[in-house]
Amino acid sequence: MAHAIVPFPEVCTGCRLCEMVCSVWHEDVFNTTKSRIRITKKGVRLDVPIVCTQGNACEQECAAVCPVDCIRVVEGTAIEVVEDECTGCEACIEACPFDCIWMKEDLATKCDLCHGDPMCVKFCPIQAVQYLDGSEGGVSEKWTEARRLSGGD
Amino acid sequence: MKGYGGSILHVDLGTGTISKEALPDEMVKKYLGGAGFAVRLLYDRSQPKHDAFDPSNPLIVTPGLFDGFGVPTGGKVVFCTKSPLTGLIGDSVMGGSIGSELKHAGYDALVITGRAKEPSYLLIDNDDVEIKDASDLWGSTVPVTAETVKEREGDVKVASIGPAGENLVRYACVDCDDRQAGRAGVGAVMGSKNLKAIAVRGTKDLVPHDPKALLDLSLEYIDKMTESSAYESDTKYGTGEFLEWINADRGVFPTRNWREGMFDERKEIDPYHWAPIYMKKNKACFSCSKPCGRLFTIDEGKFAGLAIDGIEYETLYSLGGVCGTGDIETVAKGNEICDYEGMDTISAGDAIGFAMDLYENGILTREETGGMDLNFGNSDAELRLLEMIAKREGLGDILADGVKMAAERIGKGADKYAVHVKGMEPPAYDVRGIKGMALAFMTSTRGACHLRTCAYALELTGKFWKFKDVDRFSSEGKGEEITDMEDLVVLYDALGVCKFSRGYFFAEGFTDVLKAVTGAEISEEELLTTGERINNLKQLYNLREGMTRQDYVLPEKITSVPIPEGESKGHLVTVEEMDKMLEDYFIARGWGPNSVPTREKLNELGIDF
Repeated sequence: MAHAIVPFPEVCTGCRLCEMVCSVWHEDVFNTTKSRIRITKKGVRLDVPIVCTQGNACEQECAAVCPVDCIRVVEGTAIEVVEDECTGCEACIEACPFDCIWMKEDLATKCDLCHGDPMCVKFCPIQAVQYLDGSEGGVSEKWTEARRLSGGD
Repeated sequence: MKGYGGSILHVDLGTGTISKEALPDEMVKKYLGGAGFAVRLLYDRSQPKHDAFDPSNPLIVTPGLFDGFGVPTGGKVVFCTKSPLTGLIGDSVMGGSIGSELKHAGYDALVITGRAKEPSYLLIDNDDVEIKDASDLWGSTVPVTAETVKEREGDVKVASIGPAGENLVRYACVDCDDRQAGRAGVGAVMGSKNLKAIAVRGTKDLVPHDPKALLDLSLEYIDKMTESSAYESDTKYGTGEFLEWINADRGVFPTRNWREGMFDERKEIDPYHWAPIYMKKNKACFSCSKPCGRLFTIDEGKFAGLAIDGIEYETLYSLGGVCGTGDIETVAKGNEICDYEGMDTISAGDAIGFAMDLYENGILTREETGGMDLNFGNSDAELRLLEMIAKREGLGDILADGVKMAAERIGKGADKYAVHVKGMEPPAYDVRGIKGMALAFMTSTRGACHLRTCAYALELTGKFWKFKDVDRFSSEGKGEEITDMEDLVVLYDALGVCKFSRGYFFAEGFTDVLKAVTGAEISEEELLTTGERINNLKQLYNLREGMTRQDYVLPEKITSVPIPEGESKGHLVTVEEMDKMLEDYFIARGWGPNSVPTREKLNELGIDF
């Protein structure tokens, strides 16, 4: 299985630096509504990173349902949205079992691992997001746990 | 303009008028943002000498310049108004995300005036601004208010007050994301406006001048931070990390309403003791990679279910040492009451310590305390009194006015026990053993404060920045030291950077980040001049509100009673030392001996007044 960004909500501090640097690295602007990682906060207890499993904990439902096949590996191992081809139909958003694809204006957006050197991980010395091999023991459960904690089913 | 939202938003809650103006270039150039914008707007938009609770008193919210730009520890926002505690400028800084959100909505400043007829909250949804009914929220705690507004309005960031703000407790705070603009009573002014909450949704881009350079600089700071020796201990134990050192090695931990400089029963309130037991994980301010906060929970016993973001060093002092309480669960519960009711833990604890001192000295009788035995260390009484202050019940009503006014109301010589400067209760540094800090308490424009200079660290370690071999017991050379520290430290509040990162994120580093954010090339020297300008304008505001040289005075406990035990034993600040330090300070500032900035100084700084 591929490397991916793995959430560790039990240490996430809720600072949201990951969201900010994600948007500026990809878009050259700060705008967390364009980020490919989001922190769900609930009360004082919960801060949960929500980010794509890269197929480690899902069946790549997004790619399967995309009517124009624009969600695929382009280089390296990241499954990404090819923006030039995306029609903004939102089918992938509906299909994603982890709710980690969002609309960025008219197009879908999701984690592309910053071409193998993810910014969010660099900006998280507390290690609430880590860049790990998804096939390692116990890793795939982390996304499921994050999904559950953030209020998903 | 790169780095800014571009507008100032004005809301008059009385008339319902909402207007926007373009952010003036002049203001950007001279005042940067955050605390700089706040004082400029306070000076320009206030009616001189109006009471803090007069509807005309503006409540101003200004994000720091770096807020929203992913700068590590750079997510601070300023709440500023005329303080009901001091009658002077009350600017309070917090690490909640509402500042960044305001910028994303297009605003570098929010100026709220007037008083709503009914309890209300303000909804700012990018360009759309609406005053909405909050009658059903009145009386709700801070977390309930925030959650309810979020349920109603969707994805918004919320700053809110609790019952203490509604009840005009003069040190009520404003909360956002479990972070507080704690000091000086900004929450009481919000309450006086019938304003329960401010909800903001901002989805516009913030465009940095040089995104690549900014990311690289920010990463550099993360590395410097994590490599620094303090990173591990600060994140593990938080701001209270040095509690044992302050007590045992320096003897300046004010205890039992400043009777002592060392707390004998401190073992349990030391984070080295409690963090491993009660801390579940770190919590951070918005945009901070050095999380000094912590999720503190109590899972069993009479406080089971408690969950707070804390406990900060200052709270270990105010709800611990000052009240003679060595029980960490009591301090945690008190912290929770303050957070839920929405009041400053420092002033609240100081007010209770003051009352305990009065009780033990026979000035407050059991009848006046409502039958409570108010001896130091009575945990139940402390917690009960916190609730009574928030609700302004009985003795709580008197203490809700702060120790200065409370002493006036109580009479019978109570003022001898009231520890404050300019009406503000002090933080956790016994300045009898830190002379420079004693001066800083007096010169701080918002009254007794550690964060207008951060000179405690410099004095207690003897070195920082350009200073070395500083003697904390000496009153020599403190005028220049405090002047320079004030002008440096106010830059953190203008840029929105945490002062807890000043060990590695510093004036010379600000220039590079500033250029990457805005494109402007400003030298370190110009930055420090900006700091001086901001501080001079704060002084002008205070003078206009009636402050005089006579207000520069330390409480009697500091000038006449020496620290009885420990490493600072025998030390106090004599009236002669006090006056000498002040004289030096006014000279260093280029002000007259009456604390008034000279015309030459104001012209040199280019301050319009």
